[in-house]
Amino acid sequence: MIATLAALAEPNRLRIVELLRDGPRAVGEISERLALRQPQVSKHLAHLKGAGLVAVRPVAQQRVYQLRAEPFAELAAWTERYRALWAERFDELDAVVDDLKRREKKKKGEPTR
Amino acid sequence: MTDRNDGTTLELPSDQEILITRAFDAPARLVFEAVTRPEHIRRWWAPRSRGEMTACSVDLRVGGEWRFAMQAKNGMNVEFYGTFREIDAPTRIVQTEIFAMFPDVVSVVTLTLTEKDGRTTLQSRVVYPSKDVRDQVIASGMEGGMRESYLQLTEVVRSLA
Repeated sequence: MIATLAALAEPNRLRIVELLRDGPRAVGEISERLALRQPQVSKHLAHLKGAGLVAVRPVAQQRVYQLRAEPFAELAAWTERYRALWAERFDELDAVVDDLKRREKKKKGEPTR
Repeated sequence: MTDRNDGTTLELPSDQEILITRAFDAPARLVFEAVTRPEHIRRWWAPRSRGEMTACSVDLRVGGEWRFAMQAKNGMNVEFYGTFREIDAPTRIVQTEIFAMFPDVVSVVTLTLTEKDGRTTLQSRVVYPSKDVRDQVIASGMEGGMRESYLQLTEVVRSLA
């Protein structure tokens, strides 16, 4: 979890991850698309690989990188627990707000003296 | 962003923030009332599946204090309190928020209610004193494993001191 967040905290690494969301890419292609020098891209990819965010496979003469789903699923599950608390609260708040609406309607419906 | 069918979204707009958004089918003045009056807060702040609210006080004026506490089903007492910094009914409140177990960690919550065509979008933006604190709050999730999370948070807070 912490490794995932740390890996994504660097802006160029995040750009690489976002690019890889569209599908696997070779190092040269990533470098070209993001206008980053190839050694820099290789360094970032090594970090992402170390954190388990990407996997690499050789295709002909090239090394092709792709995202691994697991750490992203973990990240989603992690924020989901906290979000779910607020979702539950707001579901109950819906009922409160409905009661207030009904009360207001009733008041307006009463004849004024 | 996580967005499930229940309409509550959570975003992390920066390293130190959490932004929660939800729409309600009511005008802003009613949502404002529901989130500021203790008799209403008691009905929603502690979701039934999680525990029971044991304290709820709101002194709704600038400089006034608020305090919410809940007895969680795992036996823990969870208490939050803070002070109102800005009140602009029924659209905006800025308040501090402190988790009673760690009184040195002060977060700032900005609540905004935006009404359009009779519906109101509620946004709660919390700015934590550091990324570590923010991450621990999310990780705790206010449920199972909470104690462990709080122990971790203690360490984070210690390291900040």
